[in-house]
Amino acid sequence: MEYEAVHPRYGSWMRDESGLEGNAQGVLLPRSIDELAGMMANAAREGRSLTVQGARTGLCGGAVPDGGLVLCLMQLDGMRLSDAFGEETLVAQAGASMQAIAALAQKSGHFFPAAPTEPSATIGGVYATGASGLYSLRYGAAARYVRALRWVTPQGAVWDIPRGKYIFDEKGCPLPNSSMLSGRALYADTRLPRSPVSAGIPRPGMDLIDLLVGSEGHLGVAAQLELELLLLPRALWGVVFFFEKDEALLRYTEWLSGWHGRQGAETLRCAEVFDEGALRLLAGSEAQSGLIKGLGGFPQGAHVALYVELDGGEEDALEVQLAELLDGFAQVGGNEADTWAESGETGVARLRALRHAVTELARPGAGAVRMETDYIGPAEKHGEYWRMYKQGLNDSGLRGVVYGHVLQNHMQVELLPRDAEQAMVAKELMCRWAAQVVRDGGQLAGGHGLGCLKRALATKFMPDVCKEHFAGLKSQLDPQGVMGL
Amino acid sequence: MKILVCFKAVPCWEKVLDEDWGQFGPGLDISYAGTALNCFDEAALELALRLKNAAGAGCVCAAVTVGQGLAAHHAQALYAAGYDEVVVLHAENAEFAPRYVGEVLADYAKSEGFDLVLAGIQAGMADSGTVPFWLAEALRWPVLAGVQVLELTADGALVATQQGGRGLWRRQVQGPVVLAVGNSPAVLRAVSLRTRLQAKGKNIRVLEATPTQVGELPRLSVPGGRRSCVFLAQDSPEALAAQLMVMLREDRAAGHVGKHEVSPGLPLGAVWYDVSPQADYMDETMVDQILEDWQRRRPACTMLPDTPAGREAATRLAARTGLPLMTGVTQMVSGQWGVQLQKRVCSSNLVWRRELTWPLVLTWGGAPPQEVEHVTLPAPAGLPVWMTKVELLEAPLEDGLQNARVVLACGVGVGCRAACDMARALAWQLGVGFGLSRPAALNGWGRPEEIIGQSGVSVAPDVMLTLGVSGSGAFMAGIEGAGRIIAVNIDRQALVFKNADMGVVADAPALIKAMEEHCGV
Repeated sequence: MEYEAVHPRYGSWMRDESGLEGNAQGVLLPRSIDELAGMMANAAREGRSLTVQGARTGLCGGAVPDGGLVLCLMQLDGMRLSDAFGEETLVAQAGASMQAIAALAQKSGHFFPAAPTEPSATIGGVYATGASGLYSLRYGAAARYVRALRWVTPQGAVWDIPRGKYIFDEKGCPLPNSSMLSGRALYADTRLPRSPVSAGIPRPGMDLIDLLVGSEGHLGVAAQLELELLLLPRALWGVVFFFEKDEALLRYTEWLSGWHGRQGAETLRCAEVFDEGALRLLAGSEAQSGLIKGLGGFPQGAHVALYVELDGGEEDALEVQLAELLDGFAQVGGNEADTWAESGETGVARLRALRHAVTELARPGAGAVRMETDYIGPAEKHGEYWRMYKQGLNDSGLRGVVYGHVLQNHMQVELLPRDAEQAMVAKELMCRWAAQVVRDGGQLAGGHGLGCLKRALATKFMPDVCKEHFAGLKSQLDPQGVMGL
Repeated sequence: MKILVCFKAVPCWEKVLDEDWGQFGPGLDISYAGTALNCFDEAALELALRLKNAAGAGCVCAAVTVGQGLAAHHAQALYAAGYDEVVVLHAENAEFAPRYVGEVLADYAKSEGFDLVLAGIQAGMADSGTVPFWLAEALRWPVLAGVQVLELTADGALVATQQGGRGLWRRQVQGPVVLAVGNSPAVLRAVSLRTRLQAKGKNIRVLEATPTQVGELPRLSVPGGRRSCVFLAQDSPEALAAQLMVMLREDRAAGHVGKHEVSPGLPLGAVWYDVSPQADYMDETMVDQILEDWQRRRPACTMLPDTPAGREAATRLAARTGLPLMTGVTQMVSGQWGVQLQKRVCSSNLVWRRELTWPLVLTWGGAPPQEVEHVTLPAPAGLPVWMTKVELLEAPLEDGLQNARVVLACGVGVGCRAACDMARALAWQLGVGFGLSRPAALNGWGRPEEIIGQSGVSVAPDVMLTLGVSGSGAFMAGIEGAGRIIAVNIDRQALVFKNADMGVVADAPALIKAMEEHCGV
């Protein structure tokens, strides 16, 4: 089988944003789905393992190969708008970037609601990791918007999977090749422990599309996705609230949670916290400090911050809600001068960019591997988890940054150990937090996938019956074990 | 003080789809891309507010735009930031009519009694860079272009920090005057939520401008001659560095062609007025000298450098002679009766070709053609009446960037100032030119004079090596005359590779370090 040669130490295909560096014998770059299917069939015949890659923006090493061949989908970047269902959809191949998808969708007055903050991420990668994007609070995970899937199996068969056609019941799930995907009926027995990783766990009435999401290239490849689009909202606002103390922030997020439940569910699309470490990173960054200085600098005494976006059909209605948010802010002692606000897409993009910048800036040093958490705890405990993370960082003496989706209790913690000894401490801390998440019935992979970096931790906390289930799924869909790890 | 700021909201060009670039024309709907204040005008808007804050009560600030309308959120942002009035001078077909726009703005400024006018140096549509000059000419006011910072002294005098070809200067000016803002890091301030909400209900004042006489609609096309990028592959940064060093030396020796194109056949008596050495502003004496010389020679083709001073001189000359004007010309194919001129427009994403007959005035982006007569006018003696004090802050960079046969340029992709400094030292060691992308310069990683691109200098070296440059249209327009473009970027999907001859997917700082070590720096 022909493949492109890899150049060790310099080939960008051997790395992703996790900082891990891998190795491979070569790279496959299919230019069409037929070519992709042929390559996968050949690899299966020759027994060569495949690591699937998109734009390599993942944080967990999922795209980092460990031998075998890299299957890079970046050239599968075709896109088109479709109205096959009477509504606007967008058909995108796996390598289409979220930025390109957003641009094409915008042309027809629509948007794809589940995009991550990294615009160069591919839709294939978003599906493979089960990502939910910045607006998960309002719009949920990306998989919800997948109307149809063109899936290539490890054996090179091409399956067309429209939503609603292949559904799990107590026997299993029919597959496009007329066979049956059977699995232990985990969902039927409520005495069984919950899996700390939701991807791949079937539920009654679950669609096959929703089972395959988050499989990180281990069960096959999502080569093409038909995406449901939403109409662009007529009104959009972004606001940053600055707080002098953590406790004021947490009082506000509690208030906001209540407000969201009562009247904000249709408009609040994200609520992102920045701890003092995040604000320090932004202020200290050469690339960002110019913008921040230009904006006027963070308010005096700003210690932590919360970024929210609201969208809706009517500007007036949104402005009433914004005034309510301001009242809530005043109730927790906030000074209304300690806010930044923008409206319209280009204005809001200025503030939104700060959120993405934190992920970019919170990198470990050269040669170090990223240590970050992507845990989802019970939403009502978000304050408790914030304190847990901050206390853990404080007690361990580790540098770190806490930021992200606060109301869903899906905050990201980036640990920045200075040396190998601190890295061990960081690992223990992540494990301790993971144990708490599992005790609370939460999830250890909220949307970044497990990759190479988190698989061991997830396995540690996974009940044996879940491990058996995943092994069974793998053996049915990838019997030769050529995909991924 | 009554301050007027002229601004334009332009399409977010980076969001326009490739398929639409291919069929771009007046009727094409690109509203999906949204609009944003162009960066120069945004800086002008912020600088005016800082002046207003410094001047205190009694100072009025108004913002005005010419065109079909303005999105409400732009107006509300301006009101929230502190503007007293936001005005639209409603006009159709004004996008490629800088003279008309300048004159309409001048009428408004005069009728409303403004004594200070600010504008960005160019707007991102026709990119003529002449609206401030047409405006000033119509008002018969002086202009200072390239303003970066504005302040009021303790006794209320207006001081502008200006970047020009003769360095960075602090100039105390007195009105009435037009200030054209260049590469300033100022951005429109953030406002609080309460202030923003209170801006709702403040209306845009819409006035009808004198209808334009629609002249030729511009013929726009996607720039041709796209390069076909071949990606280099090497085992290590060291091997790659060695290969690049060989290419830099070999290509220079081989004399790969890199130049702005001028075809033979310029009319007899074509003249180049070199205004740059004298000053970074034009005063009436200088304009009168050029006009007098022009009237004596009556050249068919009057050429000036495409610098702010050159554009000002060209604009005033065109205004007073009635000749057609085109600025920023990068290609010229001349014939017996006229010429086809080409320039970049729409933030350098498109090309505008015009056919004009002699005589005409143009500013030229490249080195002056050898075959034309060069006229250097004497420098003015003393300061003009509107400039009361000057102070040189930084002498100009004598780096010969525009004439360098090999140029190395850094973008923000190199990551930090330290990496940029390393690249600059490497360029010095190699004896090659060094430049920056605009975002890198505005990060404070270098001086604005180092900016390559639409808002800086155009270069046409034999070899152009870009490090961590994203490849925006505005930057690439500044290097389109290069013989061979080698691009280094960590992102294989980076736009720069679409317009390069060779690509290297690599970490730029690591490569710079390897090249340094190869040089023995």
